[in-house]
Amino acid sequence: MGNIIVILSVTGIVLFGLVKGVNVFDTFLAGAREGMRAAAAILPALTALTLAVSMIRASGCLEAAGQMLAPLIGAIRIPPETVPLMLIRPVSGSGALAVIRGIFEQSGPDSFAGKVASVMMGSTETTFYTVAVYFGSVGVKKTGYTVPAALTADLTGMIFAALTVTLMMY
Amino acid sequence: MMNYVFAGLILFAAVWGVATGHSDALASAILTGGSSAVTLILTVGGAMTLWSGIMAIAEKSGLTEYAAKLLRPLLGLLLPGMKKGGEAEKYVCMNVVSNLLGLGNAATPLGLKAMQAMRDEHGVLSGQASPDMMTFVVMNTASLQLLPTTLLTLRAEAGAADPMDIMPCVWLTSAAALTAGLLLCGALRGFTGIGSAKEGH
Repeated sequence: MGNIIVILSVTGIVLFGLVKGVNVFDTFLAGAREGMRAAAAILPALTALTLAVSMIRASGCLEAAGQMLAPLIGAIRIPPETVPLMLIRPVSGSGALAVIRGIFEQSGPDSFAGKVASVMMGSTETTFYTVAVYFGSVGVKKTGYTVPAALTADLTGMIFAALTVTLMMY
Repeated sequence: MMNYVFAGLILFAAVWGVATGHSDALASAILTGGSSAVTLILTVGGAMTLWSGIMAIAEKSGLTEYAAKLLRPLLGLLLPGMKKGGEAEKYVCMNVVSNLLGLGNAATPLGLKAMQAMRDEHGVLSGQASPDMMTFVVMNTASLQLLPTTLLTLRAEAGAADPMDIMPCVWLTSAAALTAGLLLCGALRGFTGIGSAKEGH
């Protein structure tokens, strides 16, 4: 079913554009150029965070943290490998990318940790960045209950990621 | 904030790693960090380029606008302070659709326009967020994406047997996270029992 969604969304959009008389090739190129520019723009941040994240992984402190947290998070079946992802996800999108690739390399994308990490990544956002940019743009400093509500959503997502993968995929 | 995150991670890793005898691994992490970032951006950037191209077609052909119209009644319920047919409503709808389609590059500028329009419509006291603004930002911090294309590309690249097999879990989890955020917003806003949560499937 998943494959069909990917195929349909690409062909459907191209077909709709054709029907509406859009030059789909030129429009694709214009959009792709923008996407490429956006990708190039995040490379410096991604390099900084890849450096930081690979140093953290190399230092061995994640294993120690995982062991410490295991009894706590094991109860709700959150794999300890995903703890760094949970910590960095609300703060940095590039950091989260670096962390999740590390999890894929170490445990594989089809392992329990790899799947839970994928669901966490796919169902949460860079909360603090979003709050800062959105409110910053209109000069709002008093953000009220936004951050607690957004972090509650993130925490719910983390717990549900482990829950849904456990229940639906095993 | 990133200033402290970056410095803190590096300093902590160095101290911990050297103290526990991981100097070799630490040094090689530093030496390969740059190339490792570049290979990551090749994967992720390729996906971003491709999907930005596809989504440009969706935008230019009017598909995004059409979908935005469909969502208008639902979003009106969640953000009751918006003027019917106003600027804020238009940009909020376009922002949500761009998010659903996974077009983050387009979603952010639209979201910022929505924030400005809400500020003007609500006549908010300087520096104070209105309840609608808070709900809207919470919606943007929960991922509404139907197809997390970057993640799926990373999974495919890492050799997942079926990169998309996690999608039902992702949708359910997104819906749960968004519902939790919106319920809390609703409760704190004072309308208890605003049970309606929006999520496209």
